[in-house]
Amino acid sequence: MFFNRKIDFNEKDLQSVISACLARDPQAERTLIKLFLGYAKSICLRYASSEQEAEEIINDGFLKVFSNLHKYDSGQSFKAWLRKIMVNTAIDSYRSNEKYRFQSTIDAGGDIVDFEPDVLAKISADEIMILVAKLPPGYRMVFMLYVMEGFNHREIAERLGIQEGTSKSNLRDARAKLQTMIKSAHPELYDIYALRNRKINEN
Amino acid sequence: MKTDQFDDAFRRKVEELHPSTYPEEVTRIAGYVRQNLPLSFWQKFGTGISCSVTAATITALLSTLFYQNYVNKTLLKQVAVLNQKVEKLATVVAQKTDTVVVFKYKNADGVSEDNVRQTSLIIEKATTALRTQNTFESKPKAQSVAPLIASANEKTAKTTAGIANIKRPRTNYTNDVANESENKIPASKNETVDLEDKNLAYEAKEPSSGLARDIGSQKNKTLTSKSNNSKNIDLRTGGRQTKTETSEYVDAGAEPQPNNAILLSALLPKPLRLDSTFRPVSHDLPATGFKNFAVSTNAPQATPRERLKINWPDVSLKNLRFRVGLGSSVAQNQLGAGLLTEILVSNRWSITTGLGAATSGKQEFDDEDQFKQRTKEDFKDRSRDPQNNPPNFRIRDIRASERLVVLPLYVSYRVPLKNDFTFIVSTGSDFHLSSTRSTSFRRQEFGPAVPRPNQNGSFVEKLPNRFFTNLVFMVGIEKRWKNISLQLNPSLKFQVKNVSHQHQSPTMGLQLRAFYRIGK
Repeated sequence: MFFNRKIDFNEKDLQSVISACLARDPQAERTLIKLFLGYAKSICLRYASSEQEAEEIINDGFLKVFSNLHKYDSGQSFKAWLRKIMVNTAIDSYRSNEKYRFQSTIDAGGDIVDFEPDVLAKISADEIMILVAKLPPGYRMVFMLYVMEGFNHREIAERLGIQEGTSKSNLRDARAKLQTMIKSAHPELYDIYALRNRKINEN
Repeated sequence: MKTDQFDDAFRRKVEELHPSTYPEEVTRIAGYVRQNLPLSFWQKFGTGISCSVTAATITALLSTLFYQNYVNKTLLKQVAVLNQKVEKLATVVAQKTDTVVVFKYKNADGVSEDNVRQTSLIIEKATTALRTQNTFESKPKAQSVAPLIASANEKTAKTTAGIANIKRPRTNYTNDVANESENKIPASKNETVDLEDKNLAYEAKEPSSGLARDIGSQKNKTLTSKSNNSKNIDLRTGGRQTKTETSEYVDAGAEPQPNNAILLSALLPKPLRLDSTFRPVSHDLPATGFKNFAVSTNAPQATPRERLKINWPDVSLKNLRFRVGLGSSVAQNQLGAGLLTEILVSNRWSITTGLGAATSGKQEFDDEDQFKQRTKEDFKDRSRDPQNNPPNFRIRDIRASERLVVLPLYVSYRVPLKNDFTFIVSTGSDFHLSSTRSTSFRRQEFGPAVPRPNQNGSFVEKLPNRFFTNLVFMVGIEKRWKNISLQLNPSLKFQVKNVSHQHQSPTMGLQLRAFYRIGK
């Protein structure tokens, strides 16, 4: 109304920032965004095919955060709550784009290649995210929800509105495609591992 | 490679990702959130509701005011009509013809001293009875005294029975009496009629008519047998009854009185007084008993003049009625409170003044860059403290507000309503006595490897003061409970001069005041 109660907050005290945000303190809102923007961005980039799409998901995600901040239970981790909101926003964004559904069925998956676990250690996270972004949206969503969020195929199917079998096939194809892309992007790594394996077999 | 191994390796790799963020992104997201965040009910409809309530209140108050004025005008018209009627009636009463009768007793030659003494004693008894019984307050009492006077008259008649040739021409009688210096009666009202030694005074009350009739009839009976000087006594207040009784006297032998006669009841407010002794005025005249004379008078004219008198309010310090109290005001971007005094100049007009403080023009900036962007001014220049704000410090969370010392002065017109409510229309201004700007901020040193804790800072700067900057109009309502009164005034403030803390004009607000009446 006429009086806005002013709540002092400290950046180091997350609860005070949240309280100030509930009082619609713009400074506190900025602080909360600043504190969790990096984390939210890292999540949203997993599900977006471009930075622009990631920005949209982040915007909508933070809007949901502030809209539902009063529902946040201070007993649980804010990061986990934020992550859940961001993933759900990404799913909503995916479902709102009908074209992705068709694309996911058109793109056929490849064969599973022989893959050394050390290969991934040699590749930077940014590079891997670039490769992930190149995956078809359907594959990417299923793969990320399964691998990163730990959803099972039934949950994925419910969330994405697809068949459970489709989820399984998409996961398999996504994994194979990703390995293929890594192999094609870094053939030298496979050469090294191929030589080492050959030596081990000769001995 | 097994799928589980690949997935684990992939998860670890992805979770290592920590994308960089930029302040612009924060600003963009904050702006997006601010724009799209659903507003609360009050944020959505608060302004509309406030404006509607204010408009409805003002409309209701104005309607009440106009209705009250209409009712007042109607009543005033009715009062004027009634006044005219009263004036007509008063004029009619004043023009009534009435009779004043003067008693006069003169001892004649040949009347024995014993008879005179006896007559005097009887009259004295009658006088005493009148004094003690307050004869004119009730008719029966007056009538009880009347026989005494009648008997006195009989005695007098007997005393004068032997007196012959004592007749005076009736037509000249009134003039004679009027010419006699001892019988002169002032023509002004409310004076006692003294008749030489025999002072007769009558209170102007209705019950006296009985006594008057008795006296008159006795005297008439006595004197008409001796002469033609039959006289009437009329000691009443006038009006129709006067005429009726006058006609009775005519029947008894007395002649009707001339038109020009004084209303004795108006002239004689005191009780009847009869002297204990009758002393002869002149030996030439016999005891003729009663004499009539009439004095012409008009109705008192002072009443209309008094009605036109204007009652100017007494505004001397001694008679001032005033109240003291507290007031608070809320307006857009402004909050104030203060001590107030309301001086009631008259029943309708009052002056409100006092001393108050107000906070206005709150501004918030995230950092000095934003401050510079919005105010076109460098924050470190404004702070004028380069030692405490060196270049390697970054200023954040700047909050500024202006504090004003104000002298409110309002003139109010008050319209009393029912149930101790008063409708108030006010106008005035909040004069600025001083204005300062208080700024608080946080200092953060950048550069050192180990970040230091933020330091809070603040400073106050005096701003150039403008005494008269605004004009306020208020329409409100007041409710009184004995000495305590509460006022609620929606206000509309117009900025006459531009000030740094208020950029909008007009601004709506609300003033709440509580007063306690001391003094009268």
